[in-house]
Amino acid sequence: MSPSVQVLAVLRRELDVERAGREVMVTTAPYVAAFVVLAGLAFGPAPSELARTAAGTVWLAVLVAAVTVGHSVAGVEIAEQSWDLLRGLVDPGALFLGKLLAVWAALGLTWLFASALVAVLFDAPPPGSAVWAGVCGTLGLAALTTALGVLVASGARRRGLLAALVLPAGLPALLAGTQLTTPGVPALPWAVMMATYAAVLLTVSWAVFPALLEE
Amino acid sequence: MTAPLHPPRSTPADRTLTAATAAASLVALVLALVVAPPDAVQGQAQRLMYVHVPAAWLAYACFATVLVASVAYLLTRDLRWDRRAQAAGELGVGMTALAIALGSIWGRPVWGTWWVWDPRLITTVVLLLVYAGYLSVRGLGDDRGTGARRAAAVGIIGFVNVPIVHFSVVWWRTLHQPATVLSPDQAVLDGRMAAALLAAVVAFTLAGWLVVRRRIRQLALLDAEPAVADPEPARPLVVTAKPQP
Amino acid sequence: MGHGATAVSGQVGSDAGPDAHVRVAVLELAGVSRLHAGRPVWAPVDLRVASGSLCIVTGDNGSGKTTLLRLAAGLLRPSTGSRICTGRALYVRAGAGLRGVQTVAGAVATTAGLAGRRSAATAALAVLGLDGSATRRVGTLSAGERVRVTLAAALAAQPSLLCLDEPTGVLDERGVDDLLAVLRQLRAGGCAVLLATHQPAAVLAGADAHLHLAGGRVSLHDPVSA
Repeated sequence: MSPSVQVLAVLRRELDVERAGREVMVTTAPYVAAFVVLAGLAFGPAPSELARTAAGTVWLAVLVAAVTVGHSVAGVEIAEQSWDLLRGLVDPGALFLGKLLAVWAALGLTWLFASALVAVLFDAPPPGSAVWAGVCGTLGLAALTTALGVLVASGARRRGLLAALVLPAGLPALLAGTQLTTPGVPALPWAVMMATYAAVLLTVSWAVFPALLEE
Repeated sequence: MTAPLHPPRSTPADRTLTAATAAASLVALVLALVVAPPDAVQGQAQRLMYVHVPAAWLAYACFATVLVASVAYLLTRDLRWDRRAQAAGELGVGMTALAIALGSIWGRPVWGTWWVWDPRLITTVVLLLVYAGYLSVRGLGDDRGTGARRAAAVGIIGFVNVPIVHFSVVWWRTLHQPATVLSPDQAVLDGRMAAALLAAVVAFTLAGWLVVRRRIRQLALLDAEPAVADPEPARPLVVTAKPQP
Repeated sequence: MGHGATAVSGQVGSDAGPDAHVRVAVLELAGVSRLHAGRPVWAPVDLRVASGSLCIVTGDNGSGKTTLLRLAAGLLRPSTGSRICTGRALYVRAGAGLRGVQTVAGAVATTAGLAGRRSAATAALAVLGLDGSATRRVGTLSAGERVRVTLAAALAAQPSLLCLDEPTGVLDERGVDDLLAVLRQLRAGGCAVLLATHQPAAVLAGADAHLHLAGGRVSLHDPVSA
């Protein structure tokens, strides 16, 4: 079985499970909606204030949602005792990439949803560079979340550590994402920054992932 | 661990290091408190620099040690590297907290505020959060090796992320406030101040080295495996398949 | 019987049968031990498991059966010694391993798909008599039914080594018969099985060997004399 086929099999399993239980969707979507509405109440209602805080609201929502999504990487699997069988059937590299693609998809949809909500509720349409931030930023966060999701979940205690680890490490995605989503900010340096962030986190997470799987 | 932990015994190298640390500390104290003049603008509060800057330097040195030791641990799976990483990480977290606290106390009379959104401050706080997490993941599982592997992963992911965090905050800051006026130690230092600062950095480095060495030895005691009596050599167990009916 | 290793190891070759695959060792543990809280769970073990063999693992609670099985399956890293396993090794604890929100057919197909054998799922469901409950969610099944579904998934995935941890505790008589039938089918395909149980009587008759864990040691016995 070739590695790419195995990656797709892991991704398919993730999608099948999500289709059957809609676990990530029903926890993340209402959460993001509540976050955006409450942010509007906290920062608004003056249109100028809302326009100024729109970009930051999108990325703060994505970053905090990454913590919720992170529990689906391995935390839920361990709680349902399906992690051992999954580890036995799939090579570490394929497991990482399959889970990464699933988390990337979840975070990408989260970003899309948050962006759309903010664009409407804050009346702040994002510039074109926001798409690059959406693609690269969610990829970097997905790599981080996949690695840390496994790292934290494989222990029975201190589940809250996932937030404590993901949030500070997600700072570059928050800043670069916010700048790329703010109209009028020079996009190129931030686009390079976001791509570098994604590339570095992808590489490092990939490298340490097999060690995280060992027990 | 039921056996009492005996304090690690001193070696000649330890005694030399202790003496060097004491001497450097004494020199640093005299230079910082007596020889160096008070700052023309900031007054006596500026003397906090002789602790704040060395603490920050030692913290960064510790975190670099954590990175090197973490990579070495994952490559060799030798727990000695993990103990080096842990000892350095613990001291690094302590020194980062000290540097931030002193910076805040220093900043209050000088800047009129406890906190400013300065890139170096933000990066240092992110470092504190990342390495507090680094120490916390060690307690996640029951297995010593698993804790070490997880910690090593956080040590590596955390450190390689630091330059990106730093540059992103620097750029973000530049965008909102072009010139930073919040860096008192950027000004040209008086020669006596520079000497005091250098002596303090040396003293902190030596003291940090001493602390880490002792901590490594203490951790080694904790890791020491109990002697296992195994009088009978294990015989090979072979399972074959009988023909099935 | 104190230490039956020599008696059983003497059977290599002679009783191995005409098929080539039964002589091949699927799993080889050499000087393997595992530390728990700084202490070894059992003295270092040298174990060779031939393909197609069924080995029953017994021992009191806390004797290290699960540790041995998880280590054999490659989920746990040995603290000392080395482990060589040819092919895919799976560890299955009672009826665990599948996601509760999936249907029986979906969960078995997904799991088999991870091994590249999605098409084998339907036949495996039929062997375990699960056609009727194919559309039920795994989470709604009884403990015994879950074991059946997990066995179907393992059968479809066709591992080289299957480590079953306590599958018999929740099975009724027919369930145990079905378990034995599945094990026969798996072994005929060359899969070696390590089965940990507190009810060895039901499964020892068809077994090739019996590993017993006691007093920090792993010993091998002839299943017939046990």
